[in-house]
Amino acid sequence: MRETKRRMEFFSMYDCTGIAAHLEKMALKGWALEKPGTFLWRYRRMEPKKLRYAVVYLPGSSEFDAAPTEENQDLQAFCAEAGWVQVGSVAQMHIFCNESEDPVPIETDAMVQIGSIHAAMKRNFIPSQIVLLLLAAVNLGMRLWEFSVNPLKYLSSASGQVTISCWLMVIALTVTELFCYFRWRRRALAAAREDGTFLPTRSTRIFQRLYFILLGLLVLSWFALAAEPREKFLIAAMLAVLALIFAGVFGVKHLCKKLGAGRNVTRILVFGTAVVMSFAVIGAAVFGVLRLSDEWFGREVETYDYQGITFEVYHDELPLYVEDLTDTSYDRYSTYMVTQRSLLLTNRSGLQRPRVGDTGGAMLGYNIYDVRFGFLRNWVRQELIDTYADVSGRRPTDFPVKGVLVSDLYPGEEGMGMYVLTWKNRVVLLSADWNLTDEQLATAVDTLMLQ
Amino acid sequence: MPREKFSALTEQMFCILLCLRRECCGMDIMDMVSKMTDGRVRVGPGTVYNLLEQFQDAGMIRQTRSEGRRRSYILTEFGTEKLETEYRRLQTQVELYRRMTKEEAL
Repeated sequence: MRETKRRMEFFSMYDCTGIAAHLEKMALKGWALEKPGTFLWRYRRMEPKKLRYAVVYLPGSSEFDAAPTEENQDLQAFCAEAGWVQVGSVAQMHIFCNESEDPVPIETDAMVQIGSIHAAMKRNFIPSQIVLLLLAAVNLGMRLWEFSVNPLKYLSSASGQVTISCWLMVIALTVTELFCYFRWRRRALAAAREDGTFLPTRSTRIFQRLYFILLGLLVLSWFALAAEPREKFLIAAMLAVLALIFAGVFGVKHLCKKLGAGRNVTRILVFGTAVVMSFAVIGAAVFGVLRLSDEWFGREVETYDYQGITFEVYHDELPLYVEDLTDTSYDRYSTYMVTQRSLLLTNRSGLQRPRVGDTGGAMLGYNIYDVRFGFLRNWVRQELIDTYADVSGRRPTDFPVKGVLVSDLYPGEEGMGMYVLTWKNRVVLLSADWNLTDEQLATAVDTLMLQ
Repeated sequence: MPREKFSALTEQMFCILLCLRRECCGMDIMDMVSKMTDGRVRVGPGTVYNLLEQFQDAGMIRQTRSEGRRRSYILTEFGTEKLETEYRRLQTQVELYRRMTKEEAL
């Protein structure tokens, strides 16, 4: 039988009532708190018994303290007089336990208790929530701006949607935490003034649990939606990098506390580690990504040099080739196909082009958008037309080809074939460096739309 | 305009200050308050600890001795005045009660 176990606990920092009640329940089940943590709490097995727990806040304490402060030691001495023993601390929060049936509570004056909770929250909880909220708001703002500039790119990218969703959830979580705390404080002060009672705190445990479950599902769906092996690798690498940074920072904090380092030394080393590791690890990851070869993921790639620059030539299979549309003897094409997928759209991009410097070959490219929900189709079509239509104001011409709506974005423009094809839940942006004939358009429609 | 701190004292604050009319160890206050009120008023160790800090910061008590973690305190002049003021405030309320109930009885 296990003697210790770890549990992820989702308590708000100020939830003294909830924490005490939970620990008392755990004691009745035979688990005593051994060490509380930021997320993981450790319990040790004992005989099930009734224990009383209480949470006290000392604003002068810090998560960087290697040992109990003078203030904490004084409080412990006071509490020991009434049979209360400190069993753990997290930052400004100190947890006490008493084996008596009906001990004198540690806090008996509601106003004093509310005051010490608020003083502790002002040190850590409130500033950290505000910083996180601002960080999330700025990041969300930047992602939304990027979305406004290129909405199709975001809608067809699981990464883009996951990023926006994550920042939205962070904002929701921090706003909820701050709102709930200040609402409790307002009501607690009113109750204390009216009849001297302490209004029990309530946590956002359910919301926090939901948040973590949603976050986990988001990450899983992000991974599942990644269509390319390289994208899956990048997601896994990014998560590994984040885990590495967290492990490094927590490891340094743990080591400093174990060695008895002073609070300020620990604080500087922890923040320094976070900054250095972030730059180093992310820098190495970016460097690694730039050197990441598609060949590692099973893609056939060759290279050639032209005027001192190295170019890559791909040999991916495409649904439609230049040779399907026109006679050509050129045979040194690069054919590249990539798929991006999200819950809303799938975007398959194909590009066939001749080598730089060569003559005789033609360029053909297409983006095939498959929308999951019908209402998106017309929006995607309009977005493509607005983005790629002639900036001089020339109006596209629309005509049907085999039941498919074709919009010619550059009608009459020599050497510029750009078309938007729309049918059922598929929209295709087709571009070529020549004007497609009716027959060629019909072939393209057959291959890209109707099959 | 914000209320002056300790302009009115709770019963627990009043009892703690009463104990500190004579030099007294902070840790003994819990028992003293319980005894002098026949168990009616219970002051927790956290409350005593916090209030002693606040009374000290407000200049109402001063530390007299320190033996390890056992620190003794006593009221200052200012603290004595505050206690007096609170006593008079409570007396005024008692008198008001007596007067009003007597008038009603008549």
